[in-house]
Amino acid sequence: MIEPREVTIDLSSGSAQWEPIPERLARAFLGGRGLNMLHLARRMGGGARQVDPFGPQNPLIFGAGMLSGTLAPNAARFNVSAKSPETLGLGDSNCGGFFAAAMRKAGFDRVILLGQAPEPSYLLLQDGQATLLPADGLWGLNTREVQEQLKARHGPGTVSAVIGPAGENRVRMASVMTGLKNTAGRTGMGAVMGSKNLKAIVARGGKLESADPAAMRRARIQQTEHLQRSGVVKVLGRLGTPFLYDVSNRLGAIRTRNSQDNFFEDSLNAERFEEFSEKMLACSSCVVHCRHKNKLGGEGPEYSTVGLLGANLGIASPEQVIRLNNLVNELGMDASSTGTIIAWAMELYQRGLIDDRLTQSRLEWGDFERVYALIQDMAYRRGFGALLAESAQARHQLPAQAADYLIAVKDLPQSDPHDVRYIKSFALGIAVASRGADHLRNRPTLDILRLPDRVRQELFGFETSPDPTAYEGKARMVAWHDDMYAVADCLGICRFVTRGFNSPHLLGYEHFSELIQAGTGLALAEDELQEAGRRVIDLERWLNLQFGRTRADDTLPRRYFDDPMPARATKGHRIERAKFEVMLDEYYRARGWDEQGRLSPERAGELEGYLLLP
Amino acid sequence: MRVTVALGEPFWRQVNAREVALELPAGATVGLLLDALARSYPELKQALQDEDLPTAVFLGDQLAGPASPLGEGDRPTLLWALAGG
Repeated sequence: MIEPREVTIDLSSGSAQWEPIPERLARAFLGGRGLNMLHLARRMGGGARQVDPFGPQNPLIFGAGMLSGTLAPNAARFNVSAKSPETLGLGDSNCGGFFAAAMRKAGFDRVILLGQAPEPSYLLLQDGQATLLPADGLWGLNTREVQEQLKARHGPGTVSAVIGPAGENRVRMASVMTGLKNTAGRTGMGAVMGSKNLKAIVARGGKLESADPAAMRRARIQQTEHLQRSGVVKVLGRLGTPFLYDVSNRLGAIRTRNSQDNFFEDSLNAERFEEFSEKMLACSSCVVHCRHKNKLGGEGPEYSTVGLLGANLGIASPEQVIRLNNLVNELGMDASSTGTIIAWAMELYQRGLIDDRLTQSRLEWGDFERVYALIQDMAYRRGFGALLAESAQARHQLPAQAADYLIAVKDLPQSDPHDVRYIKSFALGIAVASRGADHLRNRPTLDILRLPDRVRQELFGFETSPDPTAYEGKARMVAWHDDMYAVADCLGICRFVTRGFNSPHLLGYEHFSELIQAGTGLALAEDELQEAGRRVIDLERWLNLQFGRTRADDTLPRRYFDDPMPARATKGHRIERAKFEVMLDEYYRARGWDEQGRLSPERAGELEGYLLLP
Repeated sequence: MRVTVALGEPFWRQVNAREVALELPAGATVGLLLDALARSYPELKQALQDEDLPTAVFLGDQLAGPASPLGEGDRPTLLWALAGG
């Protein structure tokens, strides 16, 4: 086995400690998200609730996927983890681009950052060495500018993960960015990085060998051919994700004006964005090529941004949506949280729960200029923007009724612009997702495909209803997706080639097993991989329990229970509370948790044993 | 009877039109419509029969099945049944 390495750096003192990753931990947690969670759990321990997310004791962990940087299809990703300043719970975000590959080539599988640098700094990873350097002339730059400066300073081949002004100002939805659009956006990891006085991590040099290069090349060719037969892979490569807007909008499932409405203008259909597209781009080792380079100086937008900075704010102009997309990326802010929080504020203003005395000027749906200025005010914590920079935590400074209109779970604003009231399994998924309202942890999209019984049975290994509006039997399906997506994150593999995410025919455990053997030399059978996924989900549950989360937190925004969807095919659908609770019971049973969502004593003991291991 | 079919993503791109018109026999169903579309527009056939992504047909605001009847002047809409991004 090729031995992965991780380094723990105390930014306060500058000391660094190198450690190999023992094989037993690699087998149990693989890499990426899984090993990040292990380190987060070790650092949090029983004092998780007391840890200040902006304090020196909060670890910030960058972990490349086990296969990132190899030829494995779409293995480009890394996870950034810490206690979240946005949710005050589990913080974790996953990102593509070229940084994960660069980090591994420079000799690092994982970087664990402790303490706080005494002055604005950046970390250079090169040829197995980690050096903390002063961020002279870099602090204050936006994410595009700072990457250009670092490339000029360190030369071609330099790849950086950076924060913008939002991270520096500890905006709670601040992201870590690499390239013009690749974003570790969820849960405010950029704000933690800012609190550590760390502007960037720069990786360059080195190379990465697979354990069996010939086997890896063979697996890549075969798996790429398999993927390229998929209709959805072809369409994503040609159109990117914006084509999904038409689908959701036609169904009546696009979050509009803070989910008061469920459909919006056709002006945001994909072909209107294609007028602004220069070409399609890809991440390292990608076989899909889903990312647009736009003519307005950025990349994107993705479907999520079209929905949340477009329909959700009442903005119907594609050009304006692209300008907002480019702005949040340059400032280093999560587009999903930003769009959701501004829409929340707009509805509070519409209902008179807040007024001009707080907002300082009118706050109307569709007012592009106002939104553009407000996003800047959020990034620099100016005026009313300073309140919205608190993300969901702003509810503590607003009238109690304001929380009724917040589209968030566990204080994380919902990421997907899809209104989940129609597809019940999707609703359960965002309710139980470990980091909060998020579609990338477990979204069971296949539910809407009405796949034949035979295909679903083969895929899941148990019976499921073909009806997306049914509650019964959906919980096991969500748990199945939890495990599969956790394993993909541990390996650094993109959702767009992961089985279950938009297609039943993408890469699954048997493909992953082959890639791990070729990439690392580690033999892991399919059932061992699935068990690793289960273990990661259980460890995240263990962490959430340490953060004080309970069954009551596995819930949905009030609107999803109480307000029926107003129009189109989804009209009248909402989540029935009693049926949701039954679904949640079934989910806990499927996971082997008790009726309160607690781990079995045996599993808790096993996990705590891993925490004590060197 | 004459039926106008609205083409959503990604079907319209195959024929570069957001809608097409078809003549169908009286009493035709959605299943028959899809067969007729594949015959009249062979460039749509692959997308209509994609194993990954079954085609969703809407009649008005409602999802229709293969046996759903069509009437004169109906305007069915075709989409790939995907949720979210």
